[in-house]
Amino acid sequence: MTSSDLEQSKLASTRLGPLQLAVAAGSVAVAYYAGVQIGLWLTFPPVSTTSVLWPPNAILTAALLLVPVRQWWVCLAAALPVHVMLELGAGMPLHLVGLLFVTNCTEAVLAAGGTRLLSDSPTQFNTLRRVAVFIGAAGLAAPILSSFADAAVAHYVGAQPYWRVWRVRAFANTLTELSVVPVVVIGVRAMMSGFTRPGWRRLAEAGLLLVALVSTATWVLGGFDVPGIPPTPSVLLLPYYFWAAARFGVGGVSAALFATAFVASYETQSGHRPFAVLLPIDSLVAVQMYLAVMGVPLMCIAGLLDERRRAEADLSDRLRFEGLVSTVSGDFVRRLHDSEFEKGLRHVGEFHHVDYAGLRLVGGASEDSEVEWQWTEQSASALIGLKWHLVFPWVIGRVLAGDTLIIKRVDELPAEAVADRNAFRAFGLRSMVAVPLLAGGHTRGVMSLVIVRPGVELQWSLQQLRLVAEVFATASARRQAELEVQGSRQKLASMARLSSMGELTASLAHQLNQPLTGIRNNAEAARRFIDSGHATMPQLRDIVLDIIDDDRRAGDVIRRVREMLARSEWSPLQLDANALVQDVAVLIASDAVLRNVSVSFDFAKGPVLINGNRIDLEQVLLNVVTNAMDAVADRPIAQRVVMVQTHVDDQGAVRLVVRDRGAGLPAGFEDRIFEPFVTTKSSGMGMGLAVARSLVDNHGGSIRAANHPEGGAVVTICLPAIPAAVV
Amino acid sequence: MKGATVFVVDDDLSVRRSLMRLLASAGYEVVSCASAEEFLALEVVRPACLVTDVRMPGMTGLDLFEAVRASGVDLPIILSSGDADAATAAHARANGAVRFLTKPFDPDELLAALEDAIARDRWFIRQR
Repeated sequence: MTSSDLEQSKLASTRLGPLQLAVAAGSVAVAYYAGVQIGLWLTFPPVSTTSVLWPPNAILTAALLLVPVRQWWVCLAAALPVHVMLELGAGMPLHLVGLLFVTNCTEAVLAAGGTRLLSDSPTQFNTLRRVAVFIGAAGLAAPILSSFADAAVAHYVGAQPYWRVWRVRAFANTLTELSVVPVVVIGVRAMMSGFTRPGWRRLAEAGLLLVALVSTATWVLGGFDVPGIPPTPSVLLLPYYFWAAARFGVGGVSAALFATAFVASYETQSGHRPFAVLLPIDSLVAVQMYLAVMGVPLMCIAGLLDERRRAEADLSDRLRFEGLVSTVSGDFVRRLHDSEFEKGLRHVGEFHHVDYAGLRLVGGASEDSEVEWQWTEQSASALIGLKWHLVFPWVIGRVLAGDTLIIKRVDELPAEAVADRNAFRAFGLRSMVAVPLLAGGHTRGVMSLVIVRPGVELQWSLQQLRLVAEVFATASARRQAELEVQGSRQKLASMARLSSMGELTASLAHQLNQPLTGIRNNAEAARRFIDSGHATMPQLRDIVLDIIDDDRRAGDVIRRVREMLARSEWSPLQLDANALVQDVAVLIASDAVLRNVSVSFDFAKGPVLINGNRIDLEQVLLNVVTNAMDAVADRPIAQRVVMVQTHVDDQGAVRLVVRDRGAGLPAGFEDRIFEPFVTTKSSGMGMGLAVARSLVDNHGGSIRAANHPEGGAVVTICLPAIPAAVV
Repeated sequence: MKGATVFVVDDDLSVRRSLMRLLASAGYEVVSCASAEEFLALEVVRPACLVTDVRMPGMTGLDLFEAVRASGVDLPIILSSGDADAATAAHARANGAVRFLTKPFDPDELLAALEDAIARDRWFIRQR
């Protein structure tokens, strides 16, 4: 059952309020009045109490289908005075009038009760099953059964021939039930669920069909003779019924039958006879039989066509929805950045034709945090940056408690939702859907869809909305986990940097002390020159320039150390790999001197561009180069050689290669040295390369170690190329 | 201190230049070398003193100290380093270095040490 079917079946079982009930009773009285008038007008001799087309019973059936069973009595009570007044006025005795009202009510109760009992949605005629139930219960069983009682009343009280009355009434009422009930029920239902005016093309088509049908029926049933056409011209009406069935469903067939029956009755009354050889009344019964017999299969075909049409629409809707879900999930599989969430919301917003789609998470962010991600049409720009938990506290509270809210009008909000009601009006909201984001059994937040444009219906399917919300919830849970992993990775990286810098303390002290010594000596020399009275301005200027240079050198060392120790946020930039290596070269230079290690560099031509976090990559390189220097520390001085190379491979990927002339890696350690707590050194935790690998992974790159055929180890850091369009 | 030469060996140009200025302001002749090897190729004019950095590429200051001692030249030597530990300093002092200064040192301290060293060298020369 679709959401709209669900709504319809709710419609038929929800008790009406006093005002609605009064309107229903008034409408039944008016319709019954009109129906009786039509029926009396079409009453024929010799069966004076029985009409060929008796709409009141069908009107009662329609009312009982639309109104809940417990409130049926109101409809029946509303019809009673009208019935009594009109039939007494037509000269019928009071007891006959009363008995006929009972038989009319019996028919309506049997028809509506049977349909309600057997149909899954008694007010709809859009599947074969629903149409068949309606035809069986309301179109056949109810008129036929109630006609026994009616004929008995006419026979015993009105002294009319029993079987003739039965035959006329049974056929007349079958035809009337079939031709009136669907039209009335569909019309009332359309008005109750917010009537949307059909397009002018459809109205024009319906008008054309009606005019053509009535004209043809008038000609065919009026008994006009046309030379050359055989005496079965009623076949000419068939195309119109098929037209009605194919284009306007059961309601269309029903209306076409009614129009034809009306024309037939009118023509018969006017003295024309469709089947000229028969008596007027028999001729009319023949038309009724003809219409009823043809109407039943046509209505079934219309129901089947409607069912197929709906199935196709459902399928195409489902395919579109599956497309939406796979697009959104596909984006989330690739990346979990803000832009994917915003793009996902745009897809959902456009799919549901809303003006605003937003996600708000709880738990991770503070209570004051605003909507995490949102998408809006221009029409809903007032909603950008709203603090939902302040503006819609009742809605957010309910949804976080696990409820899904569908608010189609502001007055659907309960009285206690004062702030929400005010905000609804202040921001011009027409309707809203708010769905909990459920992942892992927890409510992680709220997904909300809003319409602000007037006259736009909220298109929703609860199942689809929940599925979409689940996709978002799972993605946001994964993103949260990734952020946590990234946080701990940064913490670990920061600790590893601290440890690398600790190892470089002696080297850094040397790098700082050199310029400080220069500054002090230069300053002292200048003082002495000045004191001696032999100072010259050019000499003093040179000294000051040297002091400035040394000061800058010392400042650079401190800046680099501070950068390495600071916990950097993940902020990738376009970097030159050569410049990166040069920065690291400065950091390790004095350490290399201290250990008598010769470090040589071989740079690829021009700037070698990569995307990454400078501090992270410098840390990786520093770690790898320091390891290489450790590896050659025990070798004879001539073999204390480390080579660092940058180059770009055929695919454009950038490789940073560090090679040493040490003893090489023990067999089987090539991969293991990147695991935590695995080290080939006598001291050290074995965390440096593990952290390095996680940092390189974070850049979408790889780090590998291998032994060189000529001895020593080679570590290669491979970083993805920047797409040409970006460069 | 006219007539005395100070040999400055340091791979850092800035330190060399500042030392040359400081020592020139104190009246010494200054000869500077960027490496130990460069110094060893020179002819040493006495009275003199060698002021050398410890941490240098190739031959370190300590290697130079050993080399000078091994060659039998009793030239006074002052060692300086930016990251020296106490053990290195003690080792140098025990083997006859005049002073071991930790960078950044007080220029007056260097000048005082040089004064002592040159006086000692003059005494050595007179003894021969």
